[in-house]
Amino acid sequence: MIVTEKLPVPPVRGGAIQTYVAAVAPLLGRHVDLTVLGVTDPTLPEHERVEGVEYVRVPGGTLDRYLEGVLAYVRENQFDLIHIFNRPRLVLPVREAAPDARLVLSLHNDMFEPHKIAAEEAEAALAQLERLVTVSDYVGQRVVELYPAAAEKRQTIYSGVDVHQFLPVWSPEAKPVRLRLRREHGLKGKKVVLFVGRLSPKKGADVLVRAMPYVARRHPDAALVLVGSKWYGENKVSDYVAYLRALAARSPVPVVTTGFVTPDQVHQWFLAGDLFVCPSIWPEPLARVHYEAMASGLPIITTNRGGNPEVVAGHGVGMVVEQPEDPKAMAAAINQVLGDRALRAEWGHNGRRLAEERYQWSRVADEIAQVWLAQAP
Amino acid sequence: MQERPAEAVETLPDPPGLVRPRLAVWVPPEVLPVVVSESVLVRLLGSDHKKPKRRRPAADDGSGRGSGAASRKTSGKGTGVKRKPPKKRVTARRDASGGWADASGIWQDSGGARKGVSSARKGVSSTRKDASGAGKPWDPEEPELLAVTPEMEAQAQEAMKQWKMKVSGMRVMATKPEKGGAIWRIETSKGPRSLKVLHRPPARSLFSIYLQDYLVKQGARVPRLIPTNTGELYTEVGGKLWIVTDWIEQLVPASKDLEGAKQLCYGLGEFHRHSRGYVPPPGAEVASRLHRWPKTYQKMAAKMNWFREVAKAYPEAPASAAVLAMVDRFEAQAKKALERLEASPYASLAARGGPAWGVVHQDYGWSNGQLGPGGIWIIDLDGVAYDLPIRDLRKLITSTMDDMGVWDPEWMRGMIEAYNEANPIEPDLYKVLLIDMSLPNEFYKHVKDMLVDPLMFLTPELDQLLQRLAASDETKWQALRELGLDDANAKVPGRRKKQGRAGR
Repeated sequence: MIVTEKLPVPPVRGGAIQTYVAAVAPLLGRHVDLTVLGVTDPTLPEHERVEGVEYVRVPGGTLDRYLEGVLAYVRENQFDLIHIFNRPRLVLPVREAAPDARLVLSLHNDMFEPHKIAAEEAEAALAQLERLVTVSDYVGQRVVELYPAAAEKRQTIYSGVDVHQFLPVWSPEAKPVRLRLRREHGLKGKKVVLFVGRLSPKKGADVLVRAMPYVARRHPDAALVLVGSKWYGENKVSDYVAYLRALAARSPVPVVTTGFVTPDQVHQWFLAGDLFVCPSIWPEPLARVHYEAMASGLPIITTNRGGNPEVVAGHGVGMVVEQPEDPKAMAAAINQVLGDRALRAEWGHNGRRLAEERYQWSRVADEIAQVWLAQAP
Repeated sequence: MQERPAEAVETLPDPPGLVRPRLAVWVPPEVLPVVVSESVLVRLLGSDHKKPKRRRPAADDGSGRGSGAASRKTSGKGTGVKRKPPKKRVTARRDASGGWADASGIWQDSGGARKGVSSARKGVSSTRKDASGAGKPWDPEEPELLAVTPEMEAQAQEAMKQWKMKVSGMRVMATKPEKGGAIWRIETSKGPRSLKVLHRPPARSLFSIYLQDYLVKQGARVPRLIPTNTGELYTEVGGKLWIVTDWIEQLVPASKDLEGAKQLCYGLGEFHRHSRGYVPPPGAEVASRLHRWPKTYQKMAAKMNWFREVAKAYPEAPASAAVLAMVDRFEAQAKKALERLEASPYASLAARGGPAWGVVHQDYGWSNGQLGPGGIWIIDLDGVAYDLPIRDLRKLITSTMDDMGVWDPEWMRGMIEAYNEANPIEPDLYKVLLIDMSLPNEFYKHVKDMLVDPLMFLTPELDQLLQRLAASDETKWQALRELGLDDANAKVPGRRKKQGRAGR
């Protein structure tokens, strides 16, 4: 498995792909001789073997620099199959370094967009792939729209969540955490709307803040919790964060902002919520917070953007807002859910059940293993 | 060289004849004043420090700009040399370069520690002054702000060992405490030099360092990088890159009239021309804004709605009504500018790629471009990025016009002509220049800070400023039309006949 040049595995600096690979690699390592090739980090050795998986780390930061280390390593070693994550631009160089290996590419974002990879290279890279795995149908369809030939190679493998870390709000272990967080942040007795994500315009947190006055009219006991920061590990006040803060300060109901929360703590915040909202206004590939909210037993409101509705619409776990930019539309959805305790409970329990049944990392690893163990064409 | 403890280096008084342009009272138009919070001053200077006056961006400064703007409007036709951008009283400057646009600071109280900020400076870091990247306090009234942490002092000592020179004294000339950047003037056995720690990540700094070297080789007037003992252009200490250059003693700011502006524009054109063909070495992060224009325009348009929403949420703030009254107009201007950009030759120009165009300085003005031996010298290159070169020119022109309170086509033509002499502007590029001017850059710049602290920034002074801005905006559109905005056959000023003289 070759991950990206930006962040190391394990995800000591966060990262959706890094979290994903760190979760499935040990499971896959039971069946195959697995090496995870990633970027160096001051806190991690350049080489280690953990839970049966080899971790090799080469300098990165920029793709060019990363490529040097990756190619040198690939040339020196023999691999039957190389699974590249989210970097179509690695495909051709890796192919050159490993002429006989089977190549699989996983896509977590729209990395085949024309401004990210030239059409010629994209087509050549797709031709070299045995399989194109995407995190949602949306991401896969987007590639197929651009490059119809990818259709027969693409396959969606939905991501997963650690259901032992993300516990349902009603579990005995969760209750003290829920009570503590609510007490500490003045949320006792409130109906808590929860946002977890990066504070950037496309994630739509401002729509939520602007929706709260309309929510407050129906539910004066509502509150909003925004978990996250502008960027991983940082609490810089971007203009956008300043904007959110300025609006939040005038909100008729409490708006709690946590700033950056480390990935190993974020599950606790899910426990403080009554309703999870993903207000994205951009074509998001499929945010993993949806799985985390399901595992936490929270009802979900998401938007009809990108891959997000794929795991919500029609699954009895939440609802989809059709006009994500409109605070009133958002407020209407929130009001509906906050006003229906039974519905919240039903969606929450369905979510937890689905997370356990469909969205565990073991299922993700199984599907990847099937790709790897498939008969080579 | 023997290792010296930090305290062994004494802080020198100004050497005789030292020009300290950075501390000049007049602050160039591209520089925004920023509020220094009282608590910071108290913390740094002691509680007996007298309360600082609250400083507003371009608030009425008593120069008569407010009420005088309209009357001055008629004075300069054809004789623009008489008109001067007003002097300002500003304590801290704000770096307009790309990476500094965003505010920083901490999100409420839950923020984490920041790199490069010592505990002594934590108070500084949570204020808007630093939050806006205004890490260069230039005000001679507050020299205490010009200090670096002991840690950075030690790093400076460590870094200087890499150069063959005896250092007899050093003095901090500028700091970016939030980001961890600083400039020292050092007195060495080889003459006065500048020691600088670049606050950006090393790979990014490499882009600037190698550009500076490239420019020197092209004959540009930028300070020469002194190689280290091992022949490198820089050394790395504390995760940052350090450079040593000549200290250009003779620099004096250009005059603040049209002649001075022309000199700056000519020097800017030279700089851009010399930077063409630059390709950074492997390992350097390529800094480019060349393809970002549409995104920048979109962002500005989007932020107009943020201003609107915040003004609506703070109806009692004195300037909210003015913001609400004007934001529709400026939002429409931003959207229209984006439409114009998309219909313009921008994309095909950008497609030529970075090296074909060279770099922009991003923070160019009366401070970073100064008169010296042979013409305009350009300093502080750390924010350079590939871009259409006229972006620097646009900023210089529009910020100067904004400062004057009136858009004067004569000035604008004069500046463009002077630039054009040094670095000819092709007609397609000229169209993009005019489009970039059509963005509501000035409104955006003046109201942007309201997001950070609405009640503190939506003041009566901002209200007055916006009223003046609305008036000057009328003259802006007249000037832009005169210069050929939306005119498919717009002629680049001064292309036909060379007028010489400017810039020399």
